[in-house]
Amino acid sequence: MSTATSPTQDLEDLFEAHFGRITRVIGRVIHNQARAEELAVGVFLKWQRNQQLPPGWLYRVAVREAFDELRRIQRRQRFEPLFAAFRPSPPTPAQLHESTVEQNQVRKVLASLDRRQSALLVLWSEGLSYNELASALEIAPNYIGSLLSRSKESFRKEYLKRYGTQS
Amino acid sequence: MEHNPESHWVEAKLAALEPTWQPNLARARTLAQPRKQFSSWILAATAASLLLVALPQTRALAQSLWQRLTLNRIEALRVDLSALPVDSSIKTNGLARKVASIEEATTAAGYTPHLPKLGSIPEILVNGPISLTQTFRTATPFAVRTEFGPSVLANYPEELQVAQSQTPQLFFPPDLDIEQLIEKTFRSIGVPAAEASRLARNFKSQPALLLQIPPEEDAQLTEITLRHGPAMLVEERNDQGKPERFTILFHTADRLYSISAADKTLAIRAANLID
Repeated sequence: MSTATSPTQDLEDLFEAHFGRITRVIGRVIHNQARAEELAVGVFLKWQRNQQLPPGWLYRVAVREAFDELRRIQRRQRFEPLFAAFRPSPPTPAQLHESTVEQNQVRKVLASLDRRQSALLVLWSEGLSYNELASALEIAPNYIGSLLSRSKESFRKEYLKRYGTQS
Repeated sequence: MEHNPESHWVEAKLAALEPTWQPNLARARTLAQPRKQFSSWILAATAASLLLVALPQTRALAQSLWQRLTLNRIEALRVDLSALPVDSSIKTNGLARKVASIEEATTAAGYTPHLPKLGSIPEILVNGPISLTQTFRTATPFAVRTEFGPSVLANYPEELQVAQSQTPQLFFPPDLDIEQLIEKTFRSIGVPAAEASRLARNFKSQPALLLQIPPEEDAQLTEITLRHGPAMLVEERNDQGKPERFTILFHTADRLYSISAADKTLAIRAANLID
């Protein structure tokens, strides 16, 4: 019987160290806690299949999964009339809080940007260091600053184009 | 870090997305456990075939008050049900144990696992049972529940995983038309009416554990034939589009199997070696 446990332990260590942050990164994009946790678990299970990948890979895939999920959500809204049979109950105050106009606007703008720029902004807003950002996005660390500036400018322009004033 | 007004403005906008909750590590561990058993889609099973195991005392009650279907086959579908207005809750009895032998696995699981003899010795784990309740947020909410497991998971050194469980049971209210529910569920996610109707009829005549694979997932489904009969081969690709994982889903008279490996030939060989 094999008693090798190191792969499992590797996953466990990584899970302990990064699960919270990975889930929050996904949660910034889709905001649904339960779904964010499910997607985060999926990211770790993907990592498990190829364990030589660095932790930065987790963040890159997490952002991608989050935006893919956001796209799915936006696509499904087109089928909203079909949900008449399963009309959910009125939203709770907490749900209303989670779906503020500004949050939706920010998500839409992020989703419209170049993937690398939106990923960078989401990870940066979660507080990743420049080195962590460089590792996650496979970009040279000395390039992060200028890319971040350009990403912010793209975000600002797109936001103003869509929603007007910079208030 | 920049400190100009525009940068602060962007920072403030992005701060609106700050989650107001804290990630639940305990729930995540529960989620991770069954996903390790039956490929990454097992927890995304469809509305009518999600998993629930009631505690023993409530199980007896459920069986007397609820209709029950035995899900004696397994079917993978390219659908995405994550938008359904459904609340899910998962329960387990906490069993997740590595065992030293097939005999010990038999004692823990309550049945003898069938494992392929490949020459190598697998690491065997017994998990579950798992229970999952789905409550539909309709005008009059209702729940469907599926009981699943215990399951036995064997990890071979050749990067092969054999997972198995006795056939799951689906419980639903006596006044619920399960065929209509399935049809409405599929239609609500955009499946054409004729196809939704066909899937619902199929489910009623041959209840299946339906596993959803979202259309966006880079995976290919192929029907293959094993010595046990027909099976579904799911080929997953990595980010570069190269085949990365092969999973074979099939059933026997009393059991569902998932055989997963990085090598297709090995997965098929192992599936055919199962007694």
